[in-house]
Amino acid sequence: MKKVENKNILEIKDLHTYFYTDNGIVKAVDGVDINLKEGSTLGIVGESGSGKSVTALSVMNLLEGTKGKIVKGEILLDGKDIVNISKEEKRKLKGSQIGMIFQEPMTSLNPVLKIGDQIMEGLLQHSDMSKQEAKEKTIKILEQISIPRADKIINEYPFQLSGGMRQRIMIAMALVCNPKILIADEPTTALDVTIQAQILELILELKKIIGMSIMFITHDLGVVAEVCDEVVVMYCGRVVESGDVFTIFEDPQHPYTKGLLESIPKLGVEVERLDSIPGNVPNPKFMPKGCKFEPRCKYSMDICKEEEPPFFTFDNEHKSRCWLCKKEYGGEL
Amino acid sequence: MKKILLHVEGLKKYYPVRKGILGSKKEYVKAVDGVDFDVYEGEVIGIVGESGCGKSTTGMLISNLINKTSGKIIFDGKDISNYDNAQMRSVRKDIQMIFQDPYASLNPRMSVREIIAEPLKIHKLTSGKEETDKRVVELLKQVGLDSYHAPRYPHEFSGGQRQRIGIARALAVEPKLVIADEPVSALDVSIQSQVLNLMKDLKEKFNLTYIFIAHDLSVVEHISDRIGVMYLGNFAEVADKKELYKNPLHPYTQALLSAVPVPDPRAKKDRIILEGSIPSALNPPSGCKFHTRCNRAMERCKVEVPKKTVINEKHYVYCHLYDEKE
Repeated sequence: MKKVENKNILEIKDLHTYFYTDNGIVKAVDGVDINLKEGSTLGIVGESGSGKSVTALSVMNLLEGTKGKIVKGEILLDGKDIVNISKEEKRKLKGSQIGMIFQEPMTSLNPVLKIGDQIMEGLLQHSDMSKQEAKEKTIKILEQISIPRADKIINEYPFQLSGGMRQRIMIAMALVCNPKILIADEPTTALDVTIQAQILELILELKKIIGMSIMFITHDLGVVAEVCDEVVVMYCGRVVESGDVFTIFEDPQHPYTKGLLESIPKLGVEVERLDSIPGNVPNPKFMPKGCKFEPRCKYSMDICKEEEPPFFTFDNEHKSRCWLCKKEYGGEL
Repeated sequence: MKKILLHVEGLKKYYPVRKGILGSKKEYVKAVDGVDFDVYEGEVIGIVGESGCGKSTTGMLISNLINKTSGKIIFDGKDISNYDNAQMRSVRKDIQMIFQDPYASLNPRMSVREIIAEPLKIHKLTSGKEETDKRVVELLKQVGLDSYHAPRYPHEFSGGQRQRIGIARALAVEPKLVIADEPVSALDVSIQSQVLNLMKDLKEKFNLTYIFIAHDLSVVEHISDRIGVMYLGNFAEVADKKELYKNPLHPYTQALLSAVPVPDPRAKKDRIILEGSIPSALNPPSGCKFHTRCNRAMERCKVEVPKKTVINEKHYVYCHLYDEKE
């Protein structure tokens, strides 16, 4: 977890992804800027409905077939735009440049295809390997992620494996073409803690070997502290705070981040009551006018109700979207 | 010594599985395989473990939602092990459950008023509509909701609010023991802390006893007085929460504690990574069931089932590493 001073491998600029439902427009992602630096692990944290998964789906171009659409904004991979390109070009990116692993390995794997075939598919699509070569490579990567009897497993089906093993298969699928970026959307949420520890260890190890950058989406702040270099906190389709992992955990400058950190019980630390954030995430159809967190915020001021705060910047690229960070309101939380 | 509210002895639940041609061979999934423990009045006992360890089955066996294979359950001085449904009804007033999924455990076609009034009617705790309605509103207020929520239906509520409704329903009959099975694991962190605080407040207010079942060690540690760690249908270790955290004895407890991600980027990590995953409960390993993943397994662990070793009054462990010290 050292400081990374590299170029941005992925830049998300002013992304707006809206869902056009029968009941109106849901602004799932509403103006998001995220930079992923080469070789670093970026954590995106937020609760359900904060837009973190939709951001990932927008990057992966997986919104087709849903009611969602990128209405505004740019996504640059290595400096090149990947939103306004042809279908064919988009397809080439998936798997070869950007790999993705999902939360629920059972629903993301095809239940009627052999495991080997599912992993090989990417290789056969994106390289001119022969089937035999692809098979050998598949066995090699399975061995790399410590799957026992890899040569047998490739002829088995997902249901024959445990949850942790399935997630390993997903990881193998995502990484078989050595992508530049791995997007991991809650990859350990469905797993038990001891298995989670195994998978996190594995992802970090592979990162070293392959040298990819990771966008790690999770709601678990413990996992973030463990694996990420940088953190983006999302709320109601917006980034509310971003910075390096130490700053975010030790000097949070947004009341939401602070509230989140205080509301989790910590092992070995005894407290009578947990600090909690009152209320619920607002209904996307009835968003508050000003700061979206204002109705739940204990520091709420008049201006918060009226006007949405811009980003205020601190040292080390630490940014917070809270009026309190403006000099005339105190300058910090 | 506090009064023992619930005593469980040798509790077992085996699910038969038929195998072979025409199901001629019968095997058993040993979901709960001989569990003993006591619950003292007014305490919160946490049961943790990974999926498939039998923690939820244990909860359902105690509330008699499923029939046990064998074992003894003594509740409030009465042996309820062999109670039939009719006899159980009187006990159910005293043992209530809160479930994990507030979406699945509330009837979508019943209004909140009906949901909370149902136990009141069944147990004849109120008479007449007026009194029932009054009590429903009282219960709603206790869990942080309001009277205007009463005519609404479950789909109109958020996850956290639904869990509050589930809690109100459980409390309607003024139970002595509440079994909460993963009550906060479906909730977001900020909502999770609200519900945990509520459960703590209600416990103080009504002098409740909780069996709190969850997989999240930090949550269990926060709310419980004592914690039992389960693995493949048995307890591995039971101890006071402080002692369990400071002095975990069973290698599984140690591994489990070390696997929990700590929300502090500077935390030191000397992590014990367990190999493999939980073996199937259909063919559990012989001897100590944990020996296949244990980093300190000895020869005798493979053959001999570890017995309860008492470390002190509140701390006992099932592991061969400690049973020679006696």
